[in-house]
Amino acid sequence: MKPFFIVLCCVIALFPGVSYTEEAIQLEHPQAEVDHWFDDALFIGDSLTRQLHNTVMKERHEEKHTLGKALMLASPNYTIYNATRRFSSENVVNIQYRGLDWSVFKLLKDVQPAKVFILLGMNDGMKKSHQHLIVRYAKALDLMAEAAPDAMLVVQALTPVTQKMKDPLLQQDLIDSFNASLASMCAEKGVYFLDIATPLKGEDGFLPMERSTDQRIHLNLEGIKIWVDTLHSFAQTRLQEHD
Amino acid sequence: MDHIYLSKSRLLSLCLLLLIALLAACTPQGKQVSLSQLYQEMEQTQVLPEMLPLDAEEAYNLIGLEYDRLAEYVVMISQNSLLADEVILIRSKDKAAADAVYELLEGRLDAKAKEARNYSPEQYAIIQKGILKREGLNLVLLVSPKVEILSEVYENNK
Repeated sequence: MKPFFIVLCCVIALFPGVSYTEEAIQLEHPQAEVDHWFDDALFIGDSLTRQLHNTVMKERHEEKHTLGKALMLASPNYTIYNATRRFSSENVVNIQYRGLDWSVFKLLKDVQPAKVFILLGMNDGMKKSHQHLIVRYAKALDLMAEAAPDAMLVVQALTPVTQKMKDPLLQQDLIDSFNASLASMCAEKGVYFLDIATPLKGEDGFLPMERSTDQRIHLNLEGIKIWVDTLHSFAQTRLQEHD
Repeated sequence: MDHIYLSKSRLLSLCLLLLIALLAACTPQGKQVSLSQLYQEMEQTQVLPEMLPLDAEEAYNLIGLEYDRLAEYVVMISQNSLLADEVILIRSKDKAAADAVYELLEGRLDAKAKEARNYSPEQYAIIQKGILKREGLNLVLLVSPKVEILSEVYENNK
């Protein structure tokens, strides 16, 4: 018996990256590979995406390769409605890219990213009845699929808010309800839905104050890191699916 | 006697010319401050929040700036994306580049204002006071709640 255990320990030592669970053994891809999975990704969003972008830019300057070379374009007040427009216009909010105004549709047609991560909805306001927003979101996804037919579309859940959030259109229960509807719509469309919200929540179901810059809605570095971890896990799963 | 008088006046003129030439050679020429030094001085005023430099790819993607058309540049945005603070100091290589950069910076300021107008009235007011200037091949874009302090640093180092 003893020699058998020695042999087993040697085998385990030879394969350090293997996680032993009751499910199938899967090799974890190294962090650098996970980050570079995002090289051909485009992130589209509002002020939250811009926060992610600024954090990632800082880390890239520090020689970290957080989310690889992902292109991140956001406008703080971008809405789901804005994403349904084919063309940019003077009278609406546009995405700024290379010094020009772009619609998401035109941007995707030009850039042709392999992966598109979308985070929109906070600026649209959440009401009890949000079906019109879901319909609009579906239309935006159809437009994105038309512009970049080979792209993997990933809809990200709306992030949580703190207990101090007083805006009636941004209450946590309404956000949770919207996210549930968004997840269903994505399942129907065969589009990925990435729950970046749950890992950000505290035990009370809200965004903890210590993860927020403004004690309401925006994320601080700790919050952003949790978001990045969730993105990394998503990428890790996609890489393992290819193995 | 006339001959001697003319020689003296010619000699005097020659001496004066030599003196002028000597003075001109000795007068120190204005030294152009490097943009990074200029930015350091702006940092020392402590009116700027934590700032983030844009590398070539980011500057091109976000603003349309092409660094290879510039002789020198400092392009800084606020690390905190909720703040509008921005410092862009540029010395273009030629007039055509300066023309293009001016247009891009104008567009940048307009875009920032448009984004902030309904989203953050406080930041919108700051952007409205933003300074965009061009002097020959030199361009500057300054956005800050204390933009007048940054502008003074810029003017003092022209």
